[in-house]
Amino acid sequence: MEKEVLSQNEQNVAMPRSDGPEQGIKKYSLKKRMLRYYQVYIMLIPVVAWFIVFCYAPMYGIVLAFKDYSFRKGILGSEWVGLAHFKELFEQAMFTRAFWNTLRISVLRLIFTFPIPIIMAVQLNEMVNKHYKKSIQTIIYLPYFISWLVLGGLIKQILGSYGPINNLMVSMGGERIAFMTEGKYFIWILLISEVWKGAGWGTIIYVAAMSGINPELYEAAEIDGCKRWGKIIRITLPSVAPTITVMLLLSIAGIMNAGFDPIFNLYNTLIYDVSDIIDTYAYRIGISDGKFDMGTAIGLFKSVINFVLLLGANFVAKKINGNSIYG
Amino acid sequence: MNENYLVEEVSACEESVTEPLVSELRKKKKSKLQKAREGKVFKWVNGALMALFALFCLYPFVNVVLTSFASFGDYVNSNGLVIPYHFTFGAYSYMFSIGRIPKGFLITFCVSFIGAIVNVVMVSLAAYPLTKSDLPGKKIISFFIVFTMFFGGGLIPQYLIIRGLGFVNKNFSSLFGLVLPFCLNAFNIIILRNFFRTVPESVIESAEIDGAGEFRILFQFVMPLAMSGIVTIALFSVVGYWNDWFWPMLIVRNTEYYTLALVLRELLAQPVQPGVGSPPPDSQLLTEASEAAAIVISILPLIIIYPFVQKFFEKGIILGAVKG
Repeated sequence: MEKEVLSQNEQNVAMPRSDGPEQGIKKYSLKKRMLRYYQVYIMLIPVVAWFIVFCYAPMYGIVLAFKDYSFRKGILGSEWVGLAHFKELFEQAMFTRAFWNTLRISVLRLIFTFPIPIIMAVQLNEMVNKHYKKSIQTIIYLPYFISWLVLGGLIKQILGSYGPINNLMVSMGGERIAFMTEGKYFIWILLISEVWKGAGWGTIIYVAAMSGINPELYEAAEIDGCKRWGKIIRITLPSVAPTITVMLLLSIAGIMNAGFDPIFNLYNTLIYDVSDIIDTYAYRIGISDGKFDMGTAIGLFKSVINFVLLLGANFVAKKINGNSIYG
Repeated sequence: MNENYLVEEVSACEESVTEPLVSELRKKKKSKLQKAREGKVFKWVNGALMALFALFCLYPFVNVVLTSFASFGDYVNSNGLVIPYHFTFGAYSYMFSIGRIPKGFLITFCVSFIGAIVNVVMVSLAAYPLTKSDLPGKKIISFFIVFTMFFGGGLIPQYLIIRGLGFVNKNFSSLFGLVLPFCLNAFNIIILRNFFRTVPESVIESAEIDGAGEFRILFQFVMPLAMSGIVTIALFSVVGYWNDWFWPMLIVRNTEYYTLALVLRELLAQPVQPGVGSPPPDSQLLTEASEAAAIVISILPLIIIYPFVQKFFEKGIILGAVKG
């Protein structure tokens, strides 16, 4: 199925839609073309309006980071305070803690969870029995559709002080562990639940890339005496290397996103010191405490770093693959 | 399957040998046998590892379903997996008796359903113009849409806008605040545009010749012909609305209009205490089971539509990723 989709796409790339009789229209003036498409522009009115209200207006709302928000005066009327919020922010121990937690969690996630979908995709690619492969895929995609709220509930039940895992450990002669309230376990619970939720789903993109590999390459490798590992290392992996590069660059660019949803649903006040990240801190400051200006400043700090990293990643991708991340 | 693979392997090897000596042929045959054995071991280990991961994926689901039918004693005495020796529907009847779960279920169902329709219409309106290669200003519009994938205002400004529009309140209208601010996104537009591009140009042309306007062409010809794309977007949004708990938490200020996720959140919220604590008293008889039952109720619809969802999501992800 993936092959079909891919080849469809290749067709799209290879053969831009012929304009047929419309070709003549290109010769018409801009005004005539715009008149011809006036209904299409009408279609775009609600779309553009939506983007202005729900995407671009919040971008303008960023000015709040440089203002002293007062409910009475609104966003526009509030007084400018320059970089005061940022200054205050960098002096807060809580913010510094959130910043380092964000980096630590992101880097550990990159090291431990990034390679897993690639390994599993290779494994799926090596499977000969189609029905078995399909059943496995159906099962491992399933967790992706469960929200972190539900997953948090599932984990708390499984790891509860008197839940199945703790009971199992006691029956094997171990001690009960307060998984959810002891800081040292947090990162592993987080990473394992992320593997549970996303690793299977993450194989899709790699499996799709692998299904596009020309089988003649494998035959040629066999003639040259390549065994299974040789084929994996010399053909499968190099063929999907561009995909891996892009995914890796995207992950690096998203290093400031340590994941609001999973952490919000797994952490609690007792383990803030290891689990509080920039996003959760911004939420508590901005929404729970109602310091909108401060919350906006934290958000802006993060988005600027993200944006710069993304531009950098795009630049690197262009250098390596000759293609930007987003085609 | 395995045999076929071996035959291929053998023939590929034989092709490589132009004029084999008899002794070499024998050697080759032996190595082929060895190869076959190695292949089998690899196949089994590989299959077993994936099966293990699949079991790991299924474990929480199985556990929660079993817990929902278990008594509290079954939970406390569980060993790696909760086995409902004292099988009971108590948790479910309790969940339905308090009424908030069924009501939340209904609200979430309506929000997801209406949300999917609004999504499909809005995303189509955005995607169709982008298929017109000679539309003046197309590049600007594309950039205008795609830029939002890279940069956003952040949580607080977005919240303030939604609040400023009056969606954050205690009335019924807060439910519209769950749909409207989230009915478009650049990723869905790109996916649907790629689906729309597969509609043959000739269809659109003949419709134009028959005097159909652009709206009629979109709704009567392009959308039905790109049905799998429409279904993909609809399912994307159904799953998104069904699972959303964060924005409902901020927007819906009245427990009367709580969605299923919000009710579930309330049920799951427990005070935290350090250490393992003492075993809970029997009076908490139904806590674990009723939480489990609430979880099962809230994921059941997703599990039911999952077979469709999986097929379309996979296709959609690939379409969106390959040609972004």
